[in-house]
Amino acid sequence: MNETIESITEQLLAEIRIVTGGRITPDPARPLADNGINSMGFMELLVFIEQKWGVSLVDQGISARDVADIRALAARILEGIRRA
Amino acid sequence: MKQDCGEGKWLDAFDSFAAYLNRSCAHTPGRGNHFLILLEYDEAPDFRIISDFFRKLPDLPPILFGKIRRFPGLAPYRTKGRPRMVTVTEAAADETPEDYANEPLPPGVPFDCRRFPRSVAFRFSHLFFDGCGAERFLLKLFTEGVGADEPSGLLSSSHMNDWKEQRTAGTEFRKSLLSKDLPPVACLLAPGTDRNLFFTASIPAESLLARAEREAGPFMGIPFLQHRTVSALLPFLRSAGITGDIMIPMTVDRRGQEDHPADALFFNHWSMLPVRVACDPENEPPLSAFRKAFYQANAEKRPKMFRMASMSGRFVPGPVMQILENHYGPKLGGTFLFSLLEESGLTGKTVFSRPVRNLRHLPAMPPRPGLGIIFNRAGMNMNLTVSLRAGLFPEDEAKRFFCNLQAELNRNESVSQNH
Repeated sequence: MNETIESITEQLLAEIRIVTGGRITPDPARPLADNGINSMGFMELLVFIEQKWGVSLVDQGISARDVADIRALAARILEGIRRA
Repeated sequence: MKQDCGEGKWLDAFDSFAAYLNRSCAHTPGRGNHFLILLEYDEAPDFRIISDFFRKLPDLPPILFGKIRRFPGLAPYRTKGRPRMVTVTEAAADETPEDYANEPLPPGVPFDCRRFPRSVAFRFSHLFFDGCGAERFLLKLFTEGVGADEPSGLLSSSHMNDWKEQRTAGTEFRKSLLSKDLPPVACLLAPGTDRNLFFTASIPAESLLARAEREAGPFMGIPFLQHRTVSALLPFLRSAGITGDIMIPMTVDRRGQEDHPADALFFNHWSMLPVRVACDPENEPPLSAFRKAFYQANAEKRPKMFRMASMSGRFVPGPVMQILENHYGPKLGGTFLFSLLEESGLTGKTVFSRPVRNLRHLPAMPPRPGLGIIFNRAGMNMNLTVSLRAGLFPEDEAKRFFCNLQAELNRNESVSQNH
């Protein structure tokens, strides 16, 4: 799998559009909460991340820094992929 | 957007589970599973303004387009015929909001308003609204007004016509809850009939959520609050000799997800997310177990399954429900019901010429589990309501549980951070 931060970010943006019912156009440079993600939406995103990349952030742990914006989350996922 | 429900078309409108809960509360003083939204003020609003508002308010557009016909035990419901207009009733109260919550709603009135010295209470039927929908309805009523063309916000779901899909969803959901292989659920036994007790507190929201993020991780406020609640409740369960898994039936709002409109008002955008955590008699389950269970329930798409499942696929009509209850006992109800409404649109708004300082939910609990832990954020406050059936605990113990929970939530750090 040749994922990059950019390719993961794109896929996260598409998933966020689905999770939020297409109500918003997510901005990769903004925090997840500002992109319409709440705790239920975040869970859906975590499920998507595990299904798509096999990275269980619930088990591995996730910090506030990892969700500072969508790119930061993409970087955290890439780190998880490399660690696996 | 007005949804064309069509003449006599089935709607995924009112939830049959709500009907069951309502029926199970039929013999309580409140005669139903309704709830209060309380607007709190720093200064008493001018009551003439409130009375004038309601006197001038025309009959509201129908709660549903069409006449509601309910087939006993076989919801969903069917709409037929002309829309029914709705009258709101309003009066001064000579009691407390808690006493008011224990009264029945006037027959045929889906919501009612009472004036208190520094608050105004709205009582809603759970058959029509969930907490979030009721808040939105009030916001609309007080900001834009509700016109005759008000869209119903009902979910006319394509799933309603796919019986096979519904049955599959229901079977899966039921299996996840009622498997005989699962250990028993720790639960207090709720008395069948009695009045509801309410204990309420407001906790500074920012510091509580900052602590939740520190201890549980970002967006993990729900598992954090559930963990702290269990920590406060376990000593009482154990002193009563009650052991078993912790099962938390949690209500979730599906507005804004998939085909649920984000601005919908009515009840049928509500679902359940049961969280189950193993608990041995000696140790308190760690926070990570709540986080994992919350994640697992989402990964299994339980809220979607529950939403899709038909009455016959999910739960069953009253008499059969009684047989199931007798067989499975407390497993059906869980340890306590949990709800978190993450933000209120009404706080800070001016309603009846005064800014609303706080908004609180007071929902009555159905017999099972008979104990509800309800959080709602309103501006700077995280409001906590413990709602329970009188008799579930001795009253002094119930108060002690509430004080312990409040202390848990007001603490800067958890005593044992066992993630």
